[in-house]
Amino acid sequence: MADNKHHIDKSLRLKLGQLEQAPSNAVWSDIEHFLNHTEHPIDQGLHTFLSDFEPAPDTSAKSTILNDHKIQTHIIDQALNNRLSQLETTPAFNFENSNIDSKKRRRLFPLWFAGIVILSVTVFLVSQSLKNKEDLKDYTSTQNQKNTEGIQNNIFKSNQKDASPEDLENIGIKQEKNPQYNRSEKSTNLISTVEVPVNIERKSADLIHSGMPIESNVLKENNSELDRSNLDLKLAPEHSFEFIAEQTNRVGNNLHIPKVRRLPFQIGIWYGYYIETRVKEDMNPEYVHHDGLNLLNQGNARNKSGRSFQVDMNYNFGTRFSISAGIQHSKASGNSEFDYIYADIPVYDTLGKISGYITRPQQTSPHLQEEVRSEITNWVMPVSMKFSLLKIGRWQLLGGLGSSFQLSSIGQYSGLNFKNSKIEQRNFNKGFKVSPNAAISFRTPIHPMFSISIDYRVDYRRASTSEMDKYIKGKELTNSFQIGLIFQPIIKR
Amino acid sequence: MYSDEDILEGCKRKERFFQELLYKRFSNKMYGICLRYAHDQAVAHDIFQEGFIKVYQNLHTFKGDSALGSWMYRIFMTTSINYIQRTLKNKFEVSINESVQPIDDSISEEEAEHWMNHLTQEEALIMVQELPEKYRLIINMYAVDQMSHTEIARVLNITESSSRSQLSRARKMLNDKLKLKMDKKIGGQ
Repeated sequence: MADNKHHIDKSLRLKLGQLEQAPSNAVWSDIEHFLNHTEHPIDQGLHTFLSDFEPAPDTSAKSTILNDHKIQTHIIDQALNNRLSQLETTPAFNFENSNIDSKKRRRLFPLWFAGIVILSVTVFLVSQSLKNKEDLKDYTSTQNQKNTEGIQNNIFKSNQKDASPEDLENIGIKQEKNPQYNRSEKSTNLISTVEVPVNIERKSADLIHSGMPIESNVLKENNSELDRSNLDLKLAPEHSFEFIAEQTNRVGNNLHIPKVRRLPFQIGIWYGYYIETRVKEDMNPEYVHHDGLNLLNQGNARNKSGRSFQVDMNYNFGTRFSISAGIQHSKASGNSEFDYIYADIPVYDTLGKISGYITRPQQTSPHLQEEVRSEITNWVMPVSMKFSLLKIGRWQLLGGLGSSFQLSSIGQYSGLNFKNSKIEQRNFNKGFKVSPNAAISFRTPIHPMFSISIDYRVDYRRASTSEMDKYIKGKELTNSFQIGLIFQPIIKR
Repeated sequence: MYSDEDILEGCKRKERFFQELLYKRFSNKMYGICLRYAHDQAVAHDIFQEGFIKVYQNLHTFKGDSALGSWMYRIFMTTSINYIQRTLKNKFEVSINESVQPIDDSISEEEAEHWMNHLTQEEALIMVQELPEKYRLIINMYAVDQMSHTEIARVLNITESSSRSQLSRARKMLNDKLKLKMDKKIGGQ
């Protein structure tokens, strides 16, 4: 371990050695996608077919391979042994140890010449043998391929039957038909040296190594074809961000996973339905006595309902916290009925001004009823912050707090004017108003770049529900249900 | 409450529940390692993702000789080092002229320690993240992960003297940044 001689190292270790921070929630979903990739259909297919792969040895193939090996081995060994063993039997002449002079060496020229001739002949015969071997190799490889196909059939039919006697017989016929084989068989019998069987054993071991890949390659290729056809594999186009296991490119045995990065901001498009519920309404005390009207009760006032459309932008700070701001357009309409009582009768002076009021008992006061219909168009700027609270499977629960800044509220209402007893239509345009709100959201990803969110939001605000010339001061709760499509850009790196 | 062994066995069975549990249990700690080595959160995310994939792929090789957390720590450390190494264009080769030079300490070691103790964890992290990659790599390996120069040299395929000189420069740069930061703080007060 390092010897921290510098104080700054120690301080740094103390500060950063225990550093912990929560990563973005998106990382787990990316890892989850990767884990899904590992369950690739090709892997599953290969596993299904090859995990219990224990084919019965095909006798025909085995005998062909062994015979092929035998022939090849024998040809080479035979030629070498025939010629070189004979060469060894000739009297040895140790050139290095002999003290012969150049004249003596010249006398030995015929021996040199004879040796060269013998070697040439040997090389010629070996080359001829090798040529024959090539022919045999072609022949046996064809036979080998046929037998390999036989192996495959046996694998996938799970039929562990041995080769038919006919197959064995065929091989026997082929061996007889091959003159080289016969010649080599004879030669083997004739040579009967120690080296030959040793070479055969060595070559047998080589053959195992050299033979198996050919067999396995063929099997692998054919199985891949089989899997592709059975599993109806779709390859994803290049540069695809789709993390769909079935549509992901594979480079060799590895999955081709594009490196991507999520940007911290999201864009949301929302469509919603909302109901304004009146919680309390009072006569505006400033206007109570002006016309002698007192609000008796709310009658059967109905709630207003409307639809909203919203676009917002969300910015993630870390993993669990985000802020958002947007613009919302909404339209609402509804009817309200109000009962009024003339409790205070104004007393006018000679100039026509109200000089005072005479209050009458409620039982004898005349009642007035008014039905008001209002239609309002709002432009609101909602600002909120959201916290990730819980994750259940693919669904995420978020909590939010915020405010809605009403930029403008344009509308009209129609109702009875008490002064002239006529139904009037009036337009109004209300300005800035702030209402705090709380929300919960359920969010789930439907695509690496898109999520769907279902929000429920409650806004509390003071409002003149009937919009009747400020006679009435109201407090409202607006219950909004919104469904949104959230886009989070991913860029490729 | 599941033990590390339960989680390990569950992950070996490739059960998604346990895989997620493993992630939740160790993600904060491992992300901390990634943040130290990376210069920003995006790179830290990349390393973090790569590290966890390695963990899931190699869980079957975990023999249980050490704690699961320690094993993962090594994986994330190695992943971070490899990642930064890949991004480094220049090799850690120091010419003779660039051999070890004494640090021209603008502040003393005691001062550095004192000021460092006054930093918050976030400030210390930002200071380290602002270092050039090779200095950040070496100071993390030596000071925080307590690797010896021999180990660093072997991992980074450099000489021990190179490792020492890089560390020396990293410390100097860190000292300078610290002094600058403290001057600002004092000035602000």
